[in-house]
Amino acid sequence: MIQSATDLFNLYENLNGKNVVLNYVGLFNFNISNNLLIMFKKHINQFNIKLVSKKKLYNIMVEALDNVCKHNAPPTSEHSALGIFFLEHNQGEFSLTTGNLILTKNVQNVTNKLMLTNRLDVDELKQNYKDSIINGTISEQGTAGIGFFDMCLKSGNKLEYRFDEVDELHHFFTLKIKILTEKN
Amino acid sequence: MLEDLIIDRTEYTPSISFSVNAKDFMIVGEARPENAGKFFEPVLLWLKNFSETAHNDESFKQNKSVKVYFILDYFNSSSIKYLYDVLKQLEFIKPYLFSLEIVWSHESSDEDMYENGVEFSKIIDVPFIFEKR
Repeated sequence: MIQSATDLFNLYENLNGKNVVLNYVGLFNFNISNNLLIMFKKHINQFNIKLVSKKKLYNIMVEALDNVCKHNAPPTSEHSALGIFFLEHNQGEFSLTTGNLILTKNVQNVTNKLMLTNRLDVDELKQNYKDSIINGTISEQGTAGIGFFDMCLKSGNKLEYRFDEVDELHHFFTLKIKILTEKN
Repeated sequence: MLEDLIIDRTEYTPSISFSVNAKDFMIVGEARPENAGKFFEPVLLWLKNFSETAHNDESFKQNKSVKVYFILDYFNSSSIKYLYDVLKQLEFIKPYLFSLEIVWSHESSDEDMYENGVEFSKIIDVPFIFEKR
C-alpha cells in the first residue's frame, strides 16, 4: 500500500540501484518539473557525453515529467498527488524513472499504449509518430499522445513499466527508460 | 492594419516576432509550454489574419517575400503538433505572397532537430532551407 513519500522511497529502493544523479519525491506541478530540468542542465555537464546524447536525455526527461504532471490522478482526501523522479547513471547508461498515481480505470488504456509502443520497430514508431502529428488530436490534458513513441525513439530502448495497486480506485504507475549515451 | 505579434522568450517558450512589414519572421528558443494550446493559439490566429491581409492586398503577391526562421533548441511532443499547424498555415499563406521560405536552423550536432525539419519539409509544400549553427 503506497500512502506516503516513505512508501515511495521504499518502492524505489526495490526498483533501482544507487548511482543517482537527480531525484525528487513529492508533489508534482509544472514549476517543479521546470526546476528539475534546470538542475539537469547544470548537472549533466559533469558527464563527458556528446551534445546529442545530452539533448536526447533532456528530451526524454521533459516527456516523462510532462506525463507525471498531466496524467497524475487528482488528489483525494486519502491520497495526495505524490510522484517520484529519479535519474541514475552507470557506466555511460542513464536510467530515468518516474512514478505517479493513476486511476485504476485508466490502467488498461495506458498499458495498451505502452504495449503498442514496445511492439513497434523504429520505422513503425516513426510512421506512427508522424501520423499522430498529422491526423491526431490534442487530449483534454493538452497532450498529443505521442510521448511514449518519442521516448522510445530517443532512447532506442523499450519502455519498462509496472502498476502497483494502491486501492480499488488507484494504481501507482512506474515508468523506467534506459538511455545509452555516446562519449565525447 | 494587423498589429505585430511579439512574444518574449522564456525558459520554456520561444520568442515570436511576426510583423506584416517584416521580411523575416522569427521563432527562437525552446518550446515546452505548460499548455501548448494556450501558447500557440495566438500565433495561429495571427497567421490566419496575416493570410487574410495578404489575400486581400494584391501587392503582397507582387512583391512581398518572407522568410520564416525556426531557430529552436528543443520542442516537446505537445508543441510539435502545434508547430505542424503553424507550418500548415504558412503553406496556406504561400500562394498570396511573392515568395515564402522556411529557414530551419539546428545546432550542428543536433541530428534529431535536423531530422524533424526534413520530415516536415516532406509534408509541407513550402521550400525549406536548412542552416547549421
